[in-house]
Amino acid sequence: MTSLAMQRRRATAGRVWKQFRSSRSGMIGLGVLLLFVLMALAAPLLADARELNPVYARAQGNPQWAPPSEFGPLGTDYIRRSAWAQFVWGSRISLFVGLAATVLTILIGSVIGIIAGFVGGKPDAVLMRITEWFLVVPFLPLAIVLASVLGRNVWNIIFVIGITSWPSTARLIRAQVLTVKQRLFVDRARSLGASGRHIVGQHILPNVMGLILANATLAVPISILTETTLAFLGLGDPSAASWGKTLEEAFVNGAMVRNAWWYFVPAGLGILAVVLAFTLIGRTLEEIANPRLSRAR
Amino acid sequence: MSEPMLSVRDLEVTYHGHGGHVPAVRGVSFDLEKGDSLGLAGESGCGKSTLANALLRLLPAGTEVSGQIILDGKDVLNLTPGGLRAARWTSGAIIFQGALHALNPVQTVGEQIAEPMLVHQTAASDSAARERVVELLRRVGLPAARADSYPHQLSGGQRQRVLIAMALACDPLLLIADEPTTALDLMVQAQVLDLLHDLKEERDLTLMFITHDLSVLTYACRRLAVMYAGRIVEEGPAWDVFENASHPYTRALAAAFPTIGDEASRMAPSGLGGDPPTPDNLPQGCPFHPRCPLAHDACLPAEPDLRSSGLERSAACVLV
Repeated sequence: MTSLAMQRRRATAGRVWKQFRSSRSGMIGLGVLLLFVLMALAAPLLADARELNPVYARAQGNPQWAPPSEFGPLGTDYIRRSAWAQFVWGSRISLFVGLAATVLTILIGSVIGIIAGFVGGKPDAVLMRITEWFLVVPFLPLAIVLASVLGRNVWNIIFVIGITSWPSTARLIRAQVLTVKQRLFVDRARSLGASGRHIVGQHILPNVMGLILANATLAVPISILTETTLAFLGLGDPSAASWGKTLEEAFVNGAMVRNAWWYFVPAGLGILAVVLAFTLIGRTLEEIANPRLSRAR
Repeated sequence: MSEPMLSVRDLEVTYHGHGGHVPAVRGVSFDLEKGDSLGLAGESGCGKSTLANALLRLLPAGTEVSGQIILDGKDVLNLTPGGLRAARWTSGAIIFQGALHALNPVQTVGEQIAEPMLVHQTAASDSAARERVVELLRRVGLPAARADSYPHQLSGGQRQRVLIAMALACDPLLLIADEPTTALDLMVQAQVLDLLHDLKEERDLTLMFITHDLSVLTYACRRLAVMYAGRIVEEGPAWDVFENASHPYTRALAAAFPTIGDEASRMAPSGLGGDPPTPDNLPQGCPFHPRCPLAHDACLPAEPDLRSSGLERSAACVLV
C-alpha cells in the first residue's frame, strides 16, 4: 500500500510545483524567501559572528555610529558593532522563531479544531470554552507575562507565541470541519465502513488543508512580528541577535535622533520583505490547494 | 432458496427531534431473496430513505430503531461497531442520491473508488487496487483516464457511474440504490438503469431500488413495494402492481403517468390531491383515508394490515 501512496504523493507534489511555477506573485515570494533563507544559512560566510561582540568590536578599533561610507557594508552602532553582521545573524533568529512558532500554533489549533468539530458534543463544548478563555485573555500582556516568567530564551519565545496565538486558528478550523462533516461524502465514507480516523485523514483533513495552509501563511508573519514586538519591548533572548532586538536597541539608543538609518532600516525592511514573501507564497498555495480556485485562475 | 439475502421484520424507526417523536418507519417487514430485485416507491417523506439508511445503521445517533434486520445472515441491529464496519459495503453497499455531494471534491475519483478497498483491505497491493479501479471504471462505461479526474470535471451522469463503480468495489451482495437517477436527464437515466440492470444480471446482485418514479421501478425491478406514511401499503410483482393496483394509493400513483398515444389520459391528468400526512401527526385509522377517493366508514376504526390480495401480492386496504 505504501509504495503507491508515496508515488501518488510524489505525483501530487509535482503537480503542485507545476502550478506554483505558473504564478508570478508566488514565484516572487518564493524568490525573496529563498534569498533570506540562504542568507540565514550562509551567515558564517557573510559576516564574522565576533562582530556581534562589543568587546571584540572595540578591540578591532571600529568607529562608533559610523555610516556605511566609513565602515563595512552597513556601518556600525552605538557600541561599534557591525550593522551588517547584526542584520545577517538576526535573520536566523527571526526566521527560525517565526517558522517554529507557526508550526506550534497551527499544530495546536488544527488538532483542537478538528477534534472539537468532528467529535462534537461535550468534548467540543469543553475545548471551545478553553479556546475562548485563551481568546479573551489580552494577547500582549499574556505574552509579556509568560516571556518574563519563563525566562528570555529563544525556545520560550516560541512557546509563548505558540500558546497565545492558536485559538483563532482552532475556531476557524472547527467551523470548517463542521461544514465538511455535514457533506454527503462523509456519510458515504461511513457507509462503506470507514473508521473515524480514516474519515478525518481522508476526507476532513484534505478539505480543511487549504484553510490550514492559508492560516499558516497568516500566522508566519504574525509570529515574526510578535517576536519583533517582544524583542522590541526588551523581552527577547538577550544573547541572540534578532531583527526585533536590533530595532529595540536602535530605538532605545537614539538611532532615530542621530539619523543613523543604516542601523534600523535593514532590519525593518528585512521583516517587511519576509512577511510579504510568506503572504505571497501562502496565497498561491491556497489557490492550488482548492482545485476550483486554481481552475478559475 | 434457503435463507433470504435480506430479511426485515417489524422495523420501526423513530426520530427524536426538538418537536417530539417522529415515527418515520412504522412496522415494515419484507424478505428479499438472493438475486432478486425490489423497488421501493412512495412520495417524499414516506420513509423510503430512512428505511434504506436503517438497513446499514446509517441513521443519526439518538434515532430509535427496533425490529430485526438480517442481512446475509448477520443481525445488523446487534452487530458490534467493528462487525458493523466490516459488514458495510461488503454485505450491502449504497448508491446515494445526489451524486455531486457524495464525492469528495479534493480527491480524484480513482482514489475514491479505491477507498472501500483500502478500508476493507481487499486489494493485495496498490497496483492491484489501481487495476481494479480501471476495471470498475471500464465496467461502468468510463475511460480509465477518468480515474485522475476530480469530481467537478465530470458530468452528472459520469459522477453517478463513479458512485456505482465505487459501490461495486468490494463485491457487495446487496446493492441499495437510493434515488440513483434523480436529477439526471431522461437519456442518462435510461443509461444508468440499463447499467444497473446489466450489473445485477452479471454478478447475481440483490438489488433494492428506491425512487418516487414508479415507471423507473417497473423497468428496473421484479418486485415492487409501495410505501405510505412509514408502512408498506402494497407489494407484489412490479408490472402486476403497476397495471392492476389494488390499493387506491398505488392506483393514484400509477394513474399519474399519461399513456403515450392515449389522448384521453393526456387531457385528463389524474393526480392525487393533498399532501402526505406528517409522520408525527397521522390521521386516525387508515392514514390514507383523508385523500382516498374510495374512503368510507370502515377505514376509520383501525389501520389495516397487509394481507394477501392475489398470487405473490398483498395490500393494506379494507377493500382488498
